[in-house]
Amino acid sequence: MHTYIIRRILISIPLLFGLLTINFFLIHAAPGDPTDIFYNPDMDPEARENIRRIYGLDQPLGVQYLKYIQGVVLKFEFGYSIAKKRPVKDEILEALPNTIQLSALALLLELSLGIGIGILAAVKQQSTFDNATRVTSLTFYSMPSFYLGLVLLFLFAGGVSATHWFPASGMVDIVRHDSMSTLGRLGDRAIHIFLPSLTLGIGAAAGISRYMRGELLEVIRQDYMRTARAKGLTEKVVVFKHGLRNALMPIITIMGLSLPFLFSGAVIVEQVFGWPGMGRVAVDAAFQRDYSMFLAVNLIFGVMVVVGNLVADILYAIVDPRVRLS
Amino acid sequence: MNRIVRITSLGLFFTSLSCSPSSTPGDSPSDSAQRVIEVEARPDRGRSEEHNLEFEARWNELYNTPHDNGDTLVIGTIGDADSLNDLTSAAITGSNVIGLLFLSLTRTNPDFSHAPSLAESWQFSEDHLELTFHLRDDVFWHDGVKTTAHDVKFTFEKQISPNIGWATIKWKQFIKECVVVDDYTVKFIFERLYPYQLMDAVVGAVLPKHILEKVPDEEMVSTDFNRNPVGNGPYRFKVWKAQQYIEVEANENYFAGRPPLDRIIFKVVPDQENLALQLKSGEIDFMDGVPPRFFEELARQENLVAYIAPGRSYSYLGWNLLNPLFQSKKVRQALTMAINRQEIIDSLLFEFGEIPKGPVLPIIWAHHPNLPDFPYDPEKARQYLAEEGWKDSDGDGWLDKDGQRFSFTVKTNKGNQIREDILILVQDMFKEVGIEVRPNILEWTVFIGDMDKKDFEAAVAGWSVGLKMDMTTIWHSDSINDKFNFVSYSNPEFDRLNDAAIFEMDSEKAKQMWWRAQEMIAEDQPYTFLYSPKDINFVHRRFQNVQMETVGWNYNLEQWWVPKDKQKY
Repeated sequence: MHTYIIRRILISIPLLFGLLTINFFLIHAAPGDPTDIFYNPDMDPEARENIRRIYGLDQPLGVQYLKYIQGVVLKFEFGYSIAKKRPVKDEILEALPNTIQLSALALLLELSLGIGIGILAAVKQQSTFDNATRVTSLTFYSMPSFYLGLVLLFLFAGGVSATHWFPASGMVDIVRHDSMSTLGRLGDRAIHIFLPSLTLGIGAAAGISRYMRGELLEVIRQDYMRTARAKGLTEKVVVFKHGLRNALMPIITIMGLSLPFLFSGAVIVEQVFGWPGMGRVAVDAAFQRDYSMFLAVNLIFGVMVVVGNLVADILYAIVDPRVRLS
Repeated sequence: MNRIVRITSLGLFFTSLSCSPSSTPGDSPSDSAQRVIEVEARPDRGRSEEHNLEFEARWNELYNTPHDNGDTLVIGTIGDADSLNDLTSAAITGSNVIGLLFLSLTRTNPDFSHAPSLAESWQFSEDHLELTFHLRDDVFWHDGVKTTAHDVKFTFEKQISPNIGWATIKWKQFIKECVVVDDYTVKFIFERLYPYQLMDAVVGAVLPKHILEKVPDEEMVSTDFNRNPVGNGPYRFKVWKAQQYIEVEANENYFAGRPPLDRIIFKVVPDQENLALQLKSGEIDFMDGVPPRFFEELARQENLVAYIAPGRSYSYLGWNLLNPLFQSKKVRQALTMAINRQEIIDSLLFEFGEIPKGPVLPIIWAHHPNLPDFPYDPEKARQYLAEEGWKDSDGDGWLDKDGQRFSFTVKTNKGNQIREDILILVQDMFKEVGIEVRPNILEWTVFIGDMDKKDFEAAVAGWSVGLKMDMTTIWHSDSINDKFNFVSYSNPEFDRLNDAAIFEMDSEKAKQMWWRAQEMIAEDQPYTFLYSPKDINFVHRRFQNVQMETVGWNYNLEQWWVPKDKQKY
């Protein structure tokens, strides 16, 4: 298995390199350049030229590309952000953990809600619960996350004063957080992350619950399930031990593939809730034509896709003994 | 800044200049007080080199009256700052914070004249080419080192360095040299005489030489100081979390005495809807530039006070004069008369705006109050167009001339709802007179790229107005190619007047010239001047001594305070 993983990682290097190259030329081909943010009548064209020169934007594109690649490959340097006036690395190191935090919680919600509801719906097929969750999950599944976010904001973050239970933006109460007890801080973080992670996770949870229900129903009809029941095992053991393990396999694949979607979903959710993560960095970088920042962010999203796929394959091998990685 | 620069338009730098605080006690809202306060427009004395003793006395009143310390002010802002170093900052949030952390040589008074700050006094030489500042000797950097004339000279040298890229380098173009006379006396030597010498000399925050002299010019854009500034102002830098907030705390050693509020926090919030929500729920205490559509709901909130300030910007519909369609003055006048501007203001700005007749707004001393105007009159518009040969000869409802239909595209930028809505209204209004308009809404960078390349027929955009009277960059024919004369307005008579007026030392004569220049533009109608929005600000009512002025909402921010029994944090 180790050789398999190493080989997969080695294969992904040229892939990421290609991604970087394509993105580099794409973003440079887009109209405008990073000095557009200095666009104002008080700024002499001369001052703008100065800034272009300082950042090396006056050099031929090929030279800029070689310099950039050289920095990335030899020194693991991602350059300076023109819009943020700091090394790209610093900004990303500040934002990435926040996105991971949000996505991890959303993933947890997605899996626990999705799998839980799916199992219940399958076990109680055709019940009121099954029908009710079918309708609600379809509703959430088809609802765009920015819309859901705005609805939640309006309902629970100040739009309706009777149900103003959650803050409207940010990660912590910026005024009081530092003077809180440890427990208080934890609670403060929890109420801040709740709405964004719910918004991010619930659509995917709805999807998972439908897959889960379908797979489990499929498995329940198999012969070995009948055998298990015939052996006199309790229904609990039948469903959870024999049924669930088999039904979970496709879910793992779906989960691995959904990791990149989780991150791209975070881009939108972070905008709505002002969550200080990679999503906001990515959007700003694209609009401000902040080249180095844009490239680094896309590289990270690329790495996420590669890692997500790899993790799914490995988990698949662990859950299903018939699969051998070689 | 994203918000302002992208939305209100180009060039909010002007505002940042006025951001260093100054004063006016009095009308802060107490319990009984009114909850909507109109900010008074003051006569513009930006060219004045005299002290304004009335404003200075008002400024000092806080320090002579009892007040409480404590509490925190949370200011909501849409864009994060980019840098807290005046040399490298371009975003509006950054300049607001810099105004609290750093001192400039002078402060701006509500009438745009100058008040003492780091400099206690100043005087010009006989020939008016040398300007000497006498600095205070009791100002310390937040790390304990004294602020001296050497810092002033050092700052000037960095500002004009081509390897740093200070955005407002142009303001220093006529300053030949900055000379240290002694530790607390510094002299600026000018190349020529002009009315804004004092304003140009004091522009920009003074920076600490002992820290920044170690940074090579090329590395200024990425130096650690940008994010960990050491200033000498009323507040000192505490913490900056990217995309979250910037926090500053009271400077106990401030020369004028500790500012009342313990902390001021600039909180980054995703968008205007969210800002309004948080203002309502009390998560933030202050918001400037509130969109008019939120006014009514927020004004109903018991705990908020609204300040309505005269506009510092205007929006326009610009006609590309290189396009044959718009080359006739009469056609342009007709186009203006076809637009019901009052309806735009009433329906999109909820009446929080005025129709500007020309590019110089009433807050500026050179404003011409009686410009020729072309009020809404579709009948007359049709008549003017007919005189120019535009008639509906084939009866299809659209005007045509030589077989060509009167039809054009109007471009504007995405992200400003009012501008996007204007395109729809205008499309309807033009249809009334038989002109076909196609709206085209573009991403900001694409939009300004097209404007630069003159790749547009008509465009809706806006300007914010500087404190310095100068029409060169937007209207002079020299500015057509590489500056901001997008519409390619070219009028030799105007150029001549503008060039002379800039350097005219006699205010009365200068005013006559500027009036004449404005008349030309109003007559030529290269733009249809659409509206000048009022600036709506909301602040929590617990704050006392809030004095908003046209120079900026933060005119005396460092002097706001909260009585002990009302303190929230």
